[in-house]
Amino acid sequence: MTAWRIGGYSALVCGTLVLWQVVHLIAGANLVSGPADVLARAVELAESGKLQENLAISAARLAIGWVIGCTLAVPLGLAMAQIPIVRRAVEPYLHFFRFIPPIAFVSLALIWFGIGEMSKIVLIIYTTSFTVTIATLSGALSVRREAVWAAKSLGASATQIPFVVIVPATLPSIITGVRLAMGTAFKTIIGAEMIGAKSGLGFMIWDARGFLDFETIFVGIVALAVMGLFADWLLRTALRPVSIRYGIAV
Amino acid sequence: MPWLRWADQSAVRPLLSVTWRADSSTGCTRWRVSARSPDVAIAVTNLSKVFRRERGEETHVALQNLDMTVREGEFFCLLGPSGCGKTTLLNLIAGFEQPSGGKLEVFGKAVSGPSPERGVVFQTELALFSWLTVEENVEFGLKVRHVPAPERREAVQRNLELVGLTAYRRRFPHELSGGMKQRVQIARVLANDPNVLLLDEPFAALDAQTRRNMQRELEAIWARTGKTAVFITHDIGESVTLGDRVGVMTRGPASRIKRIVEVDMPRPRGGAMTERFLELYNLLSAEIEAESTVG
Repeated sequence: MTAWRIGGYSALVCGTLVLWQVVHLIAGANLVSGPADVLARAVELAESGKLQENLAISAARLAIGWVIGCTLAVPLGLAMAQIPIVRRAVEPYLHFFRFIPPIAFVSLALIWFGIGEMSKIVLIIYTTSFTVTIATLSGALSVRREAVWAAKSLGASATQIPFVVIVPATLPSIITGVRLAMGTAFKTIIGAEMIGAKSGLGFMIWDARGFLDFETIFVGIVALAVMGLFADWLLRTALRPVSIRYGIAV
Repeated sequence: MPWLRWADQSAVRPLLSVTWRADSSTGCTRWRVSARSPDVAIAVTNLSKVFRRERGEETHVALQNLDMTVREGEFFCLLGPSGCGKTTLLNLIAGFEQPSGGKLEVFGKAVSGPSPERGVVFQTELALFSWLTVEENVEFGLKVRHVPAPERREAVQRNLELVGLTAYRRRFPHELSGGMKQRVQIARVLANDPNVLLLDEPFAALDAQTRRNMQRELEAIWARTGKTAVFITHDIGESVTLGDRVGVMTRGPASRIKRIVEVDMPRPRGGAMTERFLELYNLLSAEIEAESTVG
């Protein structure tokens, strides 16, 4: 089983590389850099330490913003589902700002929160919290009233209900929300770094544009994908006990 | 409500109690056996329930002028066409919803909200806690009421044995069949040792064979625990198989109980097609038919 999977993934990677090489040969090096050149550039960037440095700084911004965003959004979503007045007060804002991409706020964030780390982290918090709040809210609203009634008639008090029924029943939706938010956070951080930063993968990709350094752009793109895969793998591994308990696939 | 129980064990007085004390003058033990007549378990008088639509003045009268008495230790079936407000009545007795008018008392106390004294088995398996194992589901009521762990373990073990799910204690609800899930619901409620069992069409979603088995088992469990049971069904055969009495409800809106039929058949019944079963079946069938052709 595992041997098959490793074989399958290897075949997939090889196939992609071959396809890439073919496209490179047809389009020419001026349009699509070849895998060998990109690898060489990656080694070069790694040796100078630039790649690791930019990767680490993007990862740190992502992790801090995402964790804070999730920490704020989950209780907010639960409160909105449980307390009608909170929902009525917050939902209009939620739906208004939901359609404004964080990139639109980059310039404002730079003015409000400075050119330092704060502005990027705030943007990640912003983008993460919408996804997680909406996922948590819809999950909490669809908790079956029979489950709540069952808990009450088994002796759970009004203060126990959120902890023994609402939160556990909403957990699968929360998990979906935080995973999706990870994706939107990636999109946001690259955009923010391109416009308003002097470090990070987004900056690296944007900066290379000026020198027509396509290899570096490709290195940045692949590094992003690898970082995303790793982040999702980390999340899935951390959530494995929960997913087994709930019988959900993550 | 046990027929026989040591006098000091239960909060509710047993129907037959045995007490004893040592007589120092004679050196003998003196026994006293006392009996009492069954109490009224559930008393419903002139009950009504009106639902208001979210917007506007439109209202829906679900129940009106409903009277019903359930005796202690009795198996009472509520039979009625679909949409007649059976579940509404059960939700009122359970305390999930508040009556719009009339009186509703369980063991002499007005119902003000849900209570572990009244255990509810729901029609939908979604009432189970999907994130808890079978044994954690059964333990739930004891845990939220802060019953000490050794007592909890003992109650979980006893009730899993009662419903025959000991081998599945570490499974999750989504790994069980429909019949097993309903057994978990029954065990979960019994672990709380309620005075009254309220069952809302618990076997409606099961296939015919499983339903028959579950009916047989429920009858045995009821006989063993002696609980007062209110069982909702739209299945005439089920009501005759299980009930001591069957209350037939009128078609909604403004439902009430129009007739109560005594099921005078010996137990255990196990759903056998005796002559008396057929008579009662036809009688109830005619009552229900009359309801579905009205209007």
